[in-house]
Amino acid sequence: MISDQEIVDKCIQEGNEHFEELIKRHSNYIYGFMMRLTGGNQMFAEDLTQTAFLRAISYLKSYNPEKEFRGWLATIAINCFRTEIKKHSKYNLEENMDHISANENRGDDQDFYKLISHLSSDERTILTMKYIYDYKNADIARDLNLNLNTVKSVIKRALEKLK
Amino acid sequence: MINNNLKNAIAGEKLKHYKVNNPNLLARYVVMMSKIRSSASIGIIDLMFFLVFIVMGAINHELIFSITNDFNQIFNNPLVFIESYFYPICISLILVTIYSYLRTIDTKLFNFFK
Repeated sequence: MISDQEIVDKCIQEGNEHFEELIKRHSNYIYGFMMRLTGGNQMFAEDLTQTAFLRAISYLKSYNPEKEFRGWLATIAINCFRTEIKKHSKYNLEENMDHISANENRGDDQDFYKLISHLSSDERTILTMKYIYDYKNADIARDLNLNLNTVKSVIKRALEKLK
Repeated sequence: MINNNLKNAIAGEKLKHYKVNNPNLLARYVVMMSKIRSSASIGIIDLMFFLVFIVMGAINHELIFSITNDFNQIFNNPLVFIESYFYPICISLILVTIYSYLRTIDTKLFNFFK
């Protein structure tokens, strides 16, 4: 199977048509990530997935092959999420949770969303990255452009809130 | 330290696999949108041809005024209009063709400007 890096090279040299394959490979991963960050808001997660891939195409030349392509895409998607949250500061995960539970009977599956629903978007993002996707603190700090100590203190604060 | 409740929630969440409804459609849509985005942006070719059209228009401004005045001939007497302004029409079409052709290969030609 052709590697992600080879497809990226093809995209840069021959055109964006080749990017379709990368979207097919990584769309579920990015969509899942966005579903977790948005607390299960399917439409918001789909929008963010599209935006992330579009942004990835425009920044494709800046992709560093030393980094895993999926990780690079996830970083873009997370930053899309943070930008959207800043734009729409009214977005509230707890309200969104009510909307989801009204429409879908998801039972215990919602536990994670319920637990983190009262945290700030940054706390949710960092907790999701650390505990669901097993990111190291240093990687979170690098991807979110934050200080390592800030990441540690956000995690500590978030865990205290969850006690 | 993580409490047991959170531990269980994390373990349960990790087991879930989310899937996009239609990845093929998403892939096509994103690639199509990326093309629209890039074609809507202004590049060096656009600026160059903008200058070319402005300069040519300034040099041949009398011709442009005359075409504007006689524009109704397109509907009344199209053959006479084409006969009168055959060369300017041809030159304009050639310029537009070159412009559109260069615009499609713009990215490959002028990568170093971006």
